[in-house]
Amino acid sequence: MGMTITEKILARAAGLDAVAPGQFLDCRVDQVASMDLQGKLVFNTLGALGSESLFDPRRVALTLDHQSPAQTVAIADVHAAIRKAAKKYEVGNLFDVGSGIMHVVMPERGLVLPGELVIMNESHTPTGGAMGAVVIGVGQTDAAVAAALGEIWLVVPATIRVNLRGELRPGVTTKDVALHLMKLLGYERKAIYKTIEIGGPGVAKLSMDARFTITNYCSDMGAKSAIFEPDEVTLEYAAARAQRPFTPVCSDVDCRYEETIHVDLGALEPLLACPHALDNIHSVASQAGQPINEAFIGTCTNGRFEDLAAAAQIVAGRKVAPGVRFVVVPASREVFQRALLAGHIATLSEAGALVFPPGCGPCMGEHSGVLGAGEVAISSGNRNMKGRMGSPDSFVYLGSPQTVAASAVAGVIADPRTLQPASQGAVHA
Amino acid sequence: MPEAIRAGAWCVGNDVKALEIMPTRFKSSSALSDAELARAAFADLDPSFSARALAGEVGIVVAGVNFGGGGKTVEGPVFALRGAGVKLVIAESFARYFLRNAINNGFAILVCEGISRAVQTGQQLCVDLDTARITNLATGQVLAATPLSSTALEILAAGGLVPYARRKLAQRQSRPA
Repeated sequence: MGMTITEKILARAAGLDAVAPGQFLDCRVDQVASMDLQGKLVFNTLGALGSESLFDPRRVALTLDHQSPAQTVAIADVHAAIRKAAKKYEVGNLFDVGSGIMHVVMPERGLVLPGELVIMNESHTPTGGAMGAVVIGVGQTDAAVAAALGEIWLVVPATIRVNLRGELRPGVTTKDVALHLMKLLGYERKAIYKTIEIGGPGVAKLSMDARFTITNYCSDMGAKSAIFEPDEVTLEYAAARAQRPFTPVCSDVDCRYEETIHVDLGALEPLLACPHALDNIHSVASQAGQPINEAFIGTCTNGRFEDLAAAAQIVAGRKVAPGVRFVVVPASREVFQRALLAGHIATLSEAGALVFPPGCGPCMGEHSGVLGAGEVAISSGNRNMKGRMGSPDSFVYLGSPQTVAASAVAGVIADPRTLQPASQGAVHA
Repeated sequence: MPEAIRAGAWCVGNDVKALEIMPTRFKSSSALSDAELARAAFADLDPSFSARALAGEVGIVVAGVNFGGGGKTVEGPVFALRGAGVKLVIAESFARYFLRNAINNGFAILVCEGISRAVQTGQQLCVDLDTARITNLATGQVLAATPLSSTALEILAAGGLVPYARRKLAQRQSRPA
């Protein structure tokens, strides 16, 4: 019996020839990362452990992203404490305020690589699995122990395989694939404790930006991790960024899958997660015309370069509808700079967008455009529970950046395929 | 080597949620002792549980699939079971965060396929954690659970992940470079 990519990576990390679902393992980790919400707790636990150094400072990273830039004095103090502790422990990579979101920055900086086992202290950790790595989210105690010892105990998850075939139609994106999978697997239901492996002939044409959107969304399906088998697209991305050597692996043809799901990309249409549940999935067409107060493009789901480029293309030559706030938050400094150089930031700004510095933006409902009572937002992010983006009496719809941009100029939820040609102007570059 | 665990079984069904193990109204649990938390264990599922557990009548919870789901980082349910004197939970499968929280807090669990069909409430079980062998003393049936790794066993013996890691670090740091 062969092994899945996830089983192979875990076997290698545990120093074993073969592993099977349910097996308990003692693994060596390739990378550990935490962030501003939990980083101080991680350092506190390191102190309680009596640890004076990290297992390998180059393999420990921190991002200041959720509350960036600090919106209160208390948060500024937490950031300062993290900077001080990171210096004391000689943390190899402190991605300070403005660097971007951990799930975007870590792969960009070559710290999540094909074949690796990476531990991160944040709920959307499965995102990095698009690199062909096993990337698992843990709490602050596990993160602190992994940072000190370079080790973690893990249970091998069973694998749900998702086979993609065909090609997305214009106006349909991998966000719609992610929303479709959420409809099939449910919010923390069928995929709990499992890994979701995405492959099939439909993957080859998907860019890295597009792939991260799918693995990101697997987090809230309850999955322990999500993973794409690495191909030429992955290896080209990784080779240009890698901070260390890496060994890609793929699933064996005779490996065990607990369940296989087939998705015909060509059959999908633009979708939305409607208030107040991530798996309350409906077509954009069925919700079209719903008035909005805010349109938000950003987050670890859809704040990457191609997302901003697609939004710029839609709003070029148009204006954001009166009464709508169009908030754009690039997911990282690299994304921001590429979008600047390509002219997309200018296009978005000319249309009336508010462009914020890189970070998590208003996704968590703390800063950079939170919602008031009764307000409605359409977001390219990943969570729409009651009160997620502000007032408990607000409403959040989740869709693709194309759907968000189309809605921003329409002033109501709009299917990006139905927009009339822009009257003037052109896309920059 | 730990002694075998001998105790009466208490059977619950599939998909018992974290909030059924410890109802929400006990959520200010961080201030409570294990003994106070004991009253919370399965309080809504079966109000007689905590008295029977505290009396030593039952001490091993036997569950179906996906035990302890629905709460990601809440460790209260583990404390409530421990406070009631539960020594071990054996389930067909666990929700991920319950499993990690249990072992990291030094609370024993075993994953055992078929356990929920093989055991009834009140039957005496004898469990060897080292070999993951479960004997139903009422029926004589022996079941093989998924073995815990040596590290998981060491974490349980140390009383949790933090004391385990502290000891391991101290050993490393005292070793000559």
